[in-house]
Amino acid sequence: MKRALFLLSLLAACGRLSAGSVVINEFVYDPDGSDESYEWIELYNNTSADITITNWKIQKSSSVDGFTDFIKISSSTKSFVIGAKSFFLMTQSQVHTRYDWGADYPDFIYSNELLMSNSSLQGIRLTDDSDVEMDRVAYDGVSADSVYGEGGTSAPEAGSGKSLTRDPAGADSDNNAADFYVNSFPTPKSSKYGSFREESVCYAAPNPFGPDGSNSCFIIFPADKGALNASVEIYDLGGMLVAKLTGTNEWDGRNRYGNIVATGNYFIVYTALKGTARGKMTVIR
Amino acid sequence: MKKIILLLICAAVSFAENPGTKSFAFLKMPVSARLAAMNGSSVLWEGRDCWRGNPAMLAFRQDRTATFSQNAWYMSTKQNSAAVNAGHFGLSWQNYNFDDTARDSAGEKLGDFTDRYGVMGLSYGFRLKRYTVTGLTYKKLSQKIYGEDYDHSAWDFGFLTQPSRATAFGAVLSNVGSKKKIINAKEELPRALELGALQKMGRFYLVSEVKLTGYEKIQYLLGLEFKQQKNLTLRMGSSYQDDLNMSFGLGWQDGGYFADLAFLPHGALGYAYITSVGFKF
Repeated sequence: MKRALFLLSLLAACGRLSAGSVVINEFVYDPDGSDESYEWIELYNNTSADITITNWKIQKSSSVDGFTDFIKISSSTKSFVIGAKSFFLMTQSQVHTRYDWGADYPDFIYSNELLMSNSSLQGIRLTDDSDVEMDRVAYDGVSADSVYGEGGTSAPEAGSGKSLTRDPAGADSDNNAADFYVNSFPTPKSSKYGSFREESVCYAAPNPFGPDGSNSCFIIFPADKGALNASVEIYDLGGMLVAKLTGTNEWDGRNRYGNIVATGNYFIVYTALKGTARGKMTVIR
Repeated sequence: MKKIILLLICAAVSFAENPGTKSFAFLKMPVSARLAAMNGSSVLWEGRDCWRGNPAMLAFRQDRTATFSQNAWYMSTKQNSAAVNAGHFGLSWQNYNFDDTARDSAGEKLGDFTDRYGVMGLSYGFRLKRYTVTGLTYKKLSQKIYGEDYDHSAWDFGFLTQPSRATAFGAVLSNVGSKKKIINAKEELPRALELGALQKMGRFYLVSEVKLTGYEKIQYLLGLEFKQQKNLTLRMGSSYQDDLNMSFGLGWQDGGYFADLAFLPHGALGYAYITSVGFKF
């Protein structure tokens, strides 16, 4: 009987996730303007398997090495899974209005009056449903006397509107100061970011597009909602570059020299922050 | 002749750059693997399908050959072409399909459609002097865009002279035709003037060309062919316009049969492959 119990407990221990399997990958704790409703936290799954994270928690530091519940990933209607080598985005309810995402973009929307930056105890940690710590981040350059971060160090102060980001995604050496850098262009990524690499298809809306000099179409890449960092190139059938858009996905049907292009078919190349998609479109004048 | 070429160059470069403003743009796609790999459309006088680039080459031909090409063009689009020549006469056909999806302004799918392009060409080449030839191609064009059909016609004119057995100079003026009303606007064909020179050095062929359109930057083309064995030929080409693009190819021939393959990587658009096979009859 003892041997059976020992084997069962050994099996249970083997099935348990180790710290660092899922990490806090990027977060904004001090958004531009009012913080309420605009903070967000992104997780990353370092493993090659999907992980159920229902009832996992983000906890906020309350003392040097103490934490209280901040966010609980739960819903009465569904469970939450973070895909292998994929992201999971948690935002406050109105965050999409500032970043111009679709409302469906975050994986989990939480509502909490607590804010990450309104405390001298700048630290958060991720725990699983058994309250086992998965990851811990002290940030804002706090001293180890205030909050004990990984490696006894704190990630740097981000500054307003910037995020703290691991590079590459998921990199975790158990040293907050070494693992995070200040990212001036926050890149919140949800589970849909996983489809970014697989879809790689973009399209024009409307298509066919009839440019008349005053209208425009949009080059859409579903995995890059908001098109904040879009760079779009449009080629004719012979592979000649016709038009190039930078920082926008709106095209008025004009070539690089300001003239409206001819009726015909065109190839589109959409380059976003971390990937490229290709597509086709038709112009009828 | 020199004055005519000079005038053509001046006329071509005096126009402003205006990419994407010509209709029937599929005419810019290569129709033969050897020509695509070598970038020598105006001067390659040897090879059984070289007259597809310059109809003047038909003046050198005494045989009858048939060739078939498939062009796996960018983004999974395809072009098929076939050509047959009997002596100085040539007949060619090509077809290109472009599958697309109609969407409304919100991006919702409205249904799929296929645009189609076709060319039927009739070519003839003849000698002006013993080593100076010329030729022309009449092309009947068809274009189906989003359910609407448009027919048009165009001409190609070619010229080639061989001052020696190892040297040639050639010129092709292609897609000459009137404006065509497409939907609401009158649009022009993608006309182009190619000027080239060829130098034969033992087992090497070196071609260099410039392509002038008047609506795009001047394109500089280079091609190299190396006959490694009796049956096997290796090819490489480069073209420079906005960027440098390379092309690679190989050819095989045995008796009356031949096959060519060209590989065209494009930095942004991916890859294109062209295969040509043919035989003498």
